[in-house]
Amino acid sequence: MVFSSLIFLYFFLPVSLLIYFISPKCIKNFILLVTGLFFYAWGEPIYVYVMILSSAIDYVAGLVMHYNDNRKNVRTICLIVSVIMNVSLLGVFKYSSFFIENINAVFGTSITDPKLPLPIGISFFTFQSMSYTIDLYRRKIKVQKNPVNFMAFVSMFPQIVAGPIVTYGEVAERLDDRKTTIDDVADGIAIFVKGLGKKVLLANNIGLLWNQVKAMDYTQISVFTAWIGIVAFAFQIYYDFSGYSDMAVGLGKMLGFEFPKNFDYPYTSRSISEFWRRWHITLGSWFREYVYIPLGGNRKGISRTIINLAITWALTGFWHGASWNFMLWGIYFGILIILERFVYGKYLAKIPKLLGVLYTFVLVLFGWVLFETATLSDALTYFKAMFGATGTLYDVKATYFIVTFGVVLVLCIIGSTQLVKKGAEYVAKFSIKLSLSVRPLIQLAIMLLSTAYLVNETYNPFLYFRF
Amino acid sequence: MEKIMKYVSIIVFFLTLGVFMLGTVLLPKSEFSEAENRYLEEFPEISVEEIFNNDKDDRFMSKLDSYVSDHFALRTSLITVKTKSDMLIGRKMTNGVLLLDERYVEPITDFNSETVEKSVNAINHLADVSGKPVFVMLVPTAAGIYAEEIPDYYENIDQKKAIDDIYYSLSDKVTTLNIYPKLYSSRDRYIYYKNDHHWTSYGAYLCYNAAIRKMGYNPVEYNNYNIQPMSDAFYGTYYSKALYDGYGADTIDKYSTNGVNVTEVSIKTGSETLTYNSMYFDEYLTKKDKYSYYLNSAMYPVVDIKTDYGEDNRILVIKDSYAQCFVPFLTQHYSQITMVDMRSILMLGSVVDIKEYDQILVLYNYGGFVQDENLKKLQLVR
Repeated sequence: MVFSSLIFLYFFLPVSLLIYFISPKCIKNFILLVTGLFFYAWGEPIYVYVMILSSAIDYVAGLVMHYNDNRKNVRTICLIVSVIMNVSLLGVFKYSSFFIENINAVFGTSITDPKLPLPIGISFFTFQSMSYTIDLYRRKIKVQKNPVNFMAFVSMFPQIVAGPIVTYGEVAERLDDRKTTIDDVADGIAIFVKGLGKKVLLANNIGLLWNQVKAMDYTQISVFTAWIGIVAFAFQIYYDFSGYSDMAVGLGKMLGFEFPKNFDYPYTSRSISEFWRRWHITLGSWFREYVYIPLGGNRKGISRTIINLAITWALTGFWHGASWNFMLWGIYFGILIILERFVYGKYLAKIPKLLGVLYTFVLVLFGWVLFETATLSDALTYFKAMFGATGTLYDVKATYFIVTFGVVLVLCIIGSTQLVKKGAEYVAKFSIKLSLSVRPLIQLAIMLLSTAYLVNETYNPFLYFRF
Repeated sequence: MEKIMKYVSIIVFFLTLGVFMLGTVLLPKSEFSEAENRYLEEFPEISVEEIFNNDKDDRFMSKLDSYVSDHFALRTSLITVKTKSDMLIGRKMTNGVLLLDERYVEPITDFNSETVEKSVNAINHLADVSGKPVFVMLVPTAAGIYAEEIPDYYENIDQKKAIDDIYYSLSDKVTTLNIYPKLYSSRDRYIYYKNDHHWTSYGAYLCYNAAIRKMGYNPVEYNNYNIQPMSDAFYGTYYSKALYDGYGADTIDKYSTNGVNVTEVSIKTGSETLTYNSMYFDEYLTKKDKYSYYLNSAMYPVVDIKTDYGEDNRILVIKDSYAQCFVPFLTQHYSQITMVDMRSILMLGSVVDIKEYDQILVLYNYGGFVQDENLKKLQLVR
């Protein structure tokens, strides 16, 4: 099930929330578990068992670790079992085709590719589940003995499908004991509706532009079209993913949880390093916490730091998809971050803000070309088109894009900056009454308009869905 | 105050969810959507096979999704809201139709030249073997006549040139009827419906007037017609795509004249033959598809119209739905008009005896013609 669907918004959500709110505290986690499994099974009636199995193994591993608190060997084995199991699940379901293809190519073998379909959210829930056993091993958190509570943590519907990646430590306290205040519900609704609008009204709309450009012949497009196309994608993926994250955070709030923010105006960043502190924050945190730092981080000298960064970024890229394009994308950013860190970062901090933003945005755009084109040669052709290889600067198609998508594009640009937030603060200073009374109206408008677009569209893919 | 507004937000949110949920569940469901002109999803069966189906689109969940979507409360109003919101941000193309200042148009962006070639060859073949005079009339759609109003960043085939090219490739045995100039010069008049893909009876009349001479007859003058508006609430196929009603409704006009009268209309549905004594079917005036007022639905394989014209004079019309409002004008010149729709026929020779006819007319609108995969069946005529 997807958040941005009529059946979720108007059936699953109100019914689940109602049952949750009227349940007594002691069975609230059970409700979370049941609704979470239902939500997941709706999209994956068979693979739901994979998710249950992986959580069961981690839960048991945690218990064994706990009851063998003084036996390092046992604890280590539990950790290894958990990590291997989770990584294997990912390896098999997500990366088997990639491995088989490459092995066949290198060794000339012809292993058949079982072409396993990818269970939704596997990249998210395996990472989340692993964080439990790893942190338990490092004694950063306490064991969760209640299987219902543990399962609720893994499967609760706000973040099971697309994050944010919530580590066990971040919800441990509230998992066992929480309450929802009126403020929580109201604030949760505000964030949720904002996310819905971002996804349905902005992402899906500007995505139509990129879809058209993506299908065009890259040896024929004008420079303008090439640029506006990838800019459209940059906004599509931002509003798609951040919208979804907002909806998850909003729903979490309504249920009594404080999920971490996943995006923080990433396109206002003045360096690539800053960009990755503002984009898909929970993923960056996860890789830093569980890969970069265990590898030694920056504590083992410059050359080792560079190696650690390279490995971490290659894996980050690879997490996004089972193909060389994605790994290259990760390495691309890894190189830039290494350069910023050791070569020109100081100078970058001194240039005017706008230049820094432009530098970052353009480099990120190049990254998106790598990310979105099907093959490396397509990416190369697209880059050539961006720099005038086709010979046309501007054409009739470009006018079509401006007329059809101009307004949405402007809205996307404005929304990606802090302008809206500052505007709202200004209005609040001017008249707190106006600011407060207008809010429910805006929320209603976003809900109705989003519903109208959902009713009308068949086009509603969630881009990070292949994870 | 802040606290109160928080309560308001919460109430508004849950009220919205509740209203749409209950509305969707409780409101009576229709089987067929007039506005969208299609059958709506039925409630899917709940069974193990349906839930665990390997094909995601065939699963119970996916079908239930479509069901909820199709029967969602206030569905058509919401689609209208979406179209209007699109127009507000400058987007005038919705679901394939373009909203111009005064009408809808449907730009034609490309065509399959192989399909067209096959149709042309088949028509040439028919002219060759039938031994009868064959006339071809390709009618441009509104997107062809009003092409100048369509911004050039929308792809839109030049229908004048395209029709000329097709006419050029037809053999000398075929008489082509070039009515584009007539329609173009009359474009400021009500020759196309604003909300539907068909031409109006007036547009059809103008082309009849221009073409019938070439077929050997003198047209009935416009003043000799009594024009009676039969409906002023026609919202057609284009409207269905966007549900925007800002152009006002279209009118269905009945053209009658003192002269030859229609004596019988018999419709062969394939399994039976239905007979009527009029070309006009009033029951459609109260439904959505008002264009079928003219000679009923276009898809029936064979429709025979008999008149009290003085001599034995028969014409065979191979056509698409544009012929429905054109053929009534032909009744003044023929004792029998037989319309055939190639979609439901394989061998023309098995449903009509071509030898019995004096002339053959092939009438299609350009948009339908370039997509038509059925005209090539005329190759089978002996």
